[in-house]
Amino acid sequence: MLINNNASTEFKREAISVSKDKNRSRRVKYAVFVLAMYVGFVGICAFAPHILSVQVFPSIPLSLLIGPGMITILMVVAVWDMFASKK
Amino acid sequence: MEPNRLTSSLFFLFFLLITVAITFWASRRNRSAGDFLVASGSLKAWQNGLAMSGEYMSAAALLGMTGLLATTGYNAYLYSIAAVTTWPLILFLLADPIRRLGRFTLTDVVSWRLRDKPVRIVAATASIPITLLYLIAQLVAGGILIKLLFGLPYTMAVVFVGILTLAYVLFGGMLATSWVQIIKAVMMHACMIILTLLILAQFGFNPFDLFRAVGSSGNAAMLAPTEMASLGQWDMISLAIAISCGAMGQPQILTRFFTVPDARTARKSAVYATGIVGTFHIMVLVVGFGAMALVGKDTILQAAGGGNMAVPLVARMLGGDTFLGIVCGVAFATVIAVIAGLTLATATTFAHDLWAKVVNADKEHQKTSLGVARAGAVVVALVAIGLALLFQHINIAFLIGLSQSITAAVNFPILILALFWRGLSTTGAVAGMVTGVVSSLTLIMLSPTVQVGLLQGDKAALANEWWYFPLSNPSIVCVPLALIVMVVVSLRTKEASAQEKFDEMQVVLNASDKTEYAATSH
Repeated sequence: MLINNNASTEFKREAISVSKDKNRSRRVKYAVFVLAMYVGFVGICAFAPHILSVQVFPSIPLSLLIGPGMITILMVVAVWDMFASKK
Repeated sequence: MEPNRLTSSLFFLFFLLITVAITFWASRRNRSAGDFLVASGSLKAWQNGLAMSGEYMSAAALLGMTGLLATTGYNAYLYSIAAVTTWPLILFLLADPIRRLGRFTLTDVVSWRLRDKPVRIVAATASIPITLLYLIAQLVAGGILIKLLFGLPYTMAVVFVGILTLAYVLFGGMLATSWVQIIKAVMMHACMIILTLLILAQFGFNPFDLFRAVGSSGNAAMLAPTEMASLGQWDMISLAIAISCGAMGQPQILTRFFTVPDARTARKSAVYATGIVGTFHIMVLVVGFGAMALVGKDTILQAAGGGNMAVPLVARMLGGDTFLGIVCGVAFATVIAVIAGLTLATATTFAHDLWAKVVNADKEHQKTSLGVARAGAVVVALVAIGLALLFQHINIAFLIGLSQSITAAVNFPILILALFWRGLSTTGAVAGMVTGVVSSLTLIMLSPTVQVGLLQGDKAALANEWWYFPLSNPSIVCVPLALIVMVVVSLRTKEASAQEKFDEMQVVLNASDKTEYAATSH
């Protein structure tokens, strides 16, 4: 569907109402999730770093799993959105 | 440390030959402003994803992040995570709207619903120093790096890099610049993968054994974040805000969304970039701690380059002089690619936002823009080379901190509020952007970055001064301040037309990917 930019707002709204998707609200939710995870991690690093010093395996602190784990989650969420957007 | 200059030079020559050939090919395709500034939206998602990650990951990521991790421990990894977190946020909040609403620059997106001229003047006036400061910092760092790695005199190195990148931009435009970024990103990633494998091979491909080796060498405390003295944690938070919000407003990165044909491809390219930046920063953990375990913290700190030589040192230890030469060649290519992207972004703002949309607002400007963009690139490159020669001894952290701080306090708030808050008015936007610039400039001038790092002041004595701002990065104050000013001023200067345009904008943003918009095609 091609919509000319000079068309009236009412026309555009009507034209697009049939295809209005929920992708935007889903992406905002994902962004809030990512932001919350990030703020939580920064908060722990800054104010309670001892939490990340807990050893989960012999001589391996939690920080070494949390760091790369967080990056992996961020990548998975991004890929997840790409597949969720397919339609 | 004397790198194998023959290998470095040969590897760099190889990069040079490929990129010059691409520039020649691209120069024959630059027929309009759209071709020159945004490659007429012709890039594929994977190409743009690689180009964006190449633009984002400078020599600071390859040498600086790994060096910092190898010498200071896990606290430095927070910045890696900040750098990666930015990308899903760009994907979810900005990629789609930017591609749908803009054509050449970020200001197109903001001015979509606000009064064009005042917003464009303020946003462009802020954007040019942002990219120019970053460009000067990269040129200074590049000059020092090349002097260190290749033994070339600083002046010659800066002039050579400046002229070479200008040639890429001038003749090849966005298409050539994108391919320079793509090749550089592939080379940098390949280099990190090889280095990671070489390091892991020393520990039976078991990363836990690598971390245990770090612990047994007396650095066990460095495997986790440590308590920070005084205001250290606030400085860390402020820098994390600057990195993540700053990247969400960097013009040279976000304008890359205009180089793809549609919003769907823009989102896909952000996914690719997230994957590339993410895997790179997972490898930073291995390479950083690998350098700490194998080379040693003290050796890295004692080498020339202020702790940035972790990667070259571990490369020489595990891959010999040949691999060290390759790493140095990659670092050189990285500097050149980032400078090319920054030169083009600054020239685009100058040509499109200021010249075409403000000075020649009423005229048919596309042809003028192409000529002006090229002229703008020449001016930008010459100014940057001149300033980089002048500021040879300036603190690079100051330049980058200032650039990041202004980006985070100006571009990030205006983009987020313009896209997500109906109540934003033109007056509010302008007031907030001016507040962001002024507060960033003022606070960084009063911070230890300038007062101690640049003016050699005594930190203890300064701490008693009422005007002294104790954090190195002011983003923790400037970003909320700019947001508050935008909201408060907008609430007091309601603008019906901006709200109506916001409603209209929702129609564009809610349209499905199959809906094509005449306004956003190149």
